[in-house]
Amino acid sequence: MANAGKWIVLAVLVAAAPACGAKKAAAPAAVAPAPPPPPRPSVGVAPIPSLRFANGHIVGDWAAAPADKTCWTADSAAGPTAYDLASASAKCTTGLTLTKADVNVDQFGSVQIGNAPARGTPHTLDANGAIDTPAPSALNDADAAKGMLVSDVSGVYAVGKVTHRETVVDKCHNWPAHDQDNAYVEVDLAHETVAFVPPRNVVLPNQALTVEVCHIPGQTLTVQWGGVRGLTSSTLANNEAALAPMFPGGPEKIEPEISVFTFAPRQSGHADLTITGTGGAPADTMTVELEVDTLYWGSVRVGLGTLFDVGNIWNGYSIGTFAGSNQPEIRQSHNAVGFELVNAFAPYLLDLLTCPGRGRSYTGGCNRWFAPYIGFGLVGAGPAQNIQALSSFHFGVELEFAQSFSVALTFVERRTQALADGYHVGSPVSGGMSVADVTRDAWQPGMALVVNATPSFLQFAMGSGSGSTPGTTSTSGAGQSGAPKK
Amino acid sequence: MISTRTLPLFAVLAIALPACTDTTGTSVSCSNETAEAAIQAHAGSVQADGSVTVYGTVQFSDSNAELTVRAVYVAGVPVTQTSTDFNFRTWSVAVPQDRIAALAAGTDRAALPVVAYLFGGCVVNLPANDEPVVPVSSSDGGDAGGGGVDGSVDAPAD
Repeated sequence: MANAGKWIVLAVLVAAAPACGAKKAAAPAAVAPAPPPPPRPSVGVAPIPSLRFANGHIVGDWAAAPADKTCWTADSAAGPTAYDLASASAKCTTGLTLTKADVNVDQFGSVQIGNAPARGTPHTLDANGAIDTPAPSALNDADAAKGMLVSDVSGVYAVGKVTHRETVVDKCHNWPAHDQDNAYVEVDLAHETVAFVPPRNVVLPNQALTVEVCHIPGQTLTVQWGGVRGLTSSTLANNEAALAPMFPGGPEKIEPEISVFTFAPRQSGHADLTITGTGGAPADTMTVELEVDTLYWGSVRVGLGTLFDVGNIWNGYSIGTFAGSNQPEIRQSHNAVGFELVNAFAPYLLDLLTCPGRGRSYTGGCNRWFAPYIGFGLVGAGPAQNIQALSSFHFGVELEFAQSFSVALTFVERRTQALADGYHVGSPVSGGMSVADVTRDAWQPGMALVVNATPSFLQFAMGSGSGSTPGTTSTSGAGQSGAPKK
Repeated sequence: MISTRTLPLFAVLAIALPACTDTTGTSVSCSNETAEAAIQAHAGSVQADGSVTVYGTVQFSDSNAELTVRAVYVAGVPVTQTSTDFNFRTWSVAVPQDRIAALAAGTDRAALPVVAYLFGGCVVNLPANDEPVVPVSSSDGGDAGGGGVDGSVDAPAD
């Protein structure tokens, strides 16, 4: 029993030991904490938190790259694929190129290689480029030495080889200056935006189109402009190096270049512009909807004119007999207002002289509304209440309220009657004489208000612009395209 | 027997604008015309029925200002033109006997009023002292309403 008492005392002492500050004397605790999870296999390289897919490559943060950057070489478009890892025996092999099909970026921004393993499952590629499931045991320092970098991004192992510096395409600037003769379209293909289009996306007739495309170097551009003349395409060869050598520090800024294409005028109608950039990056296609406007330089008017005798000088004459008399006599009549059908021409001089494109637009473009008005009376009521042709001449100004409707205020020279020499009002005439025997034509001034309606076939549009304006087609403009515009 | 004597008459009527003026003592009513018309009238021979033919002319001093003569009346009887006549430049009218007797009003002569209607509402009355006068025989002078006087008018003097 004495031994039993000793063990009890010892147990008490042991239990009281922590309270006495004997930390080192602590025995292996019965409630020891759970062991930490086994570390993931180290491959001996620092993780690359910014590993991501960009421009068709697995790229990383330059600052986080291994100290030994000698293997961080520029990518080669003809380099081996991801499945060539096994054959990459040297430390600095040719850069690894992963095609887009090899790389997947999931919704969390994780970069995955191969067949997109599920999130959270530690997958990686083994040295042979195959998915190594479940343990990424194959990745080791040797792989890292080959240039493979392993990162744990959102719980998904990804592997890649840093072959590029991260690149950022700079903003397009230094667009070439515009002149007023051509229409311009500025397309930022690098950022897939349209920087400039003609107002309302409408190109004037007889106006050449200049397309300025801002794109990253290395792209081959194809620009097509539709329209009546058909498509005109231009393909630019790009002979520049794919990428500049790596630069220390920070993302590499790619200075975009601006290529300029010019096109001959198109006829009125739809003429969409399509820009396609291929090579050096995934193909980008942009379409800019353009319309070639229809401009008019004049129109023939057909109107109903109301003529006013402001000078009280429009007289008409007739021959008749007074009641109770058998002697024919010359009578005079007067009407202050006359009506007639007017045919006129309205040249759009203001539009021709001042509007871009030298014509009047009815689609929201330049329209001066006013125009000279020159016409003549086709058929009208004569001053003696008769019907006469070619009854007047009009000179005035019209205001066009709509394309087919206008109102003109004109000075008018109206064909009226005057008595022939020897006759006057009240003169007797013989019974066989007519009014034509005693009168002659006289043109007398006045004013007129003409309301015009113009059918579309009497409106004169600008002529076809096909080939009428000197310009450089996209093909012949290849020489100036592709050259960066600073 | 009624003798007829010729009474050459001459009247120059000035019709001026714009007033309805009476420039020669002739009653003129005209709105807006200017003309100078000369009317002549004289009695002709006595017809078998006792009527007297009066002949006359209307002349304008300026042919360029000639106005239409719409009608001429002598003693209320409208004159007639020949087929070749024009604008009453020459005219004639047969005044019936009873009309003459009525105008005599019991005297031995009857003055025949001459009125011309021109264009523009101009009315020209031949002055009374220029009117053709037709003598009426004393035997029949007071029978103005008696149904006619045969041969009571003198023959024209010319």
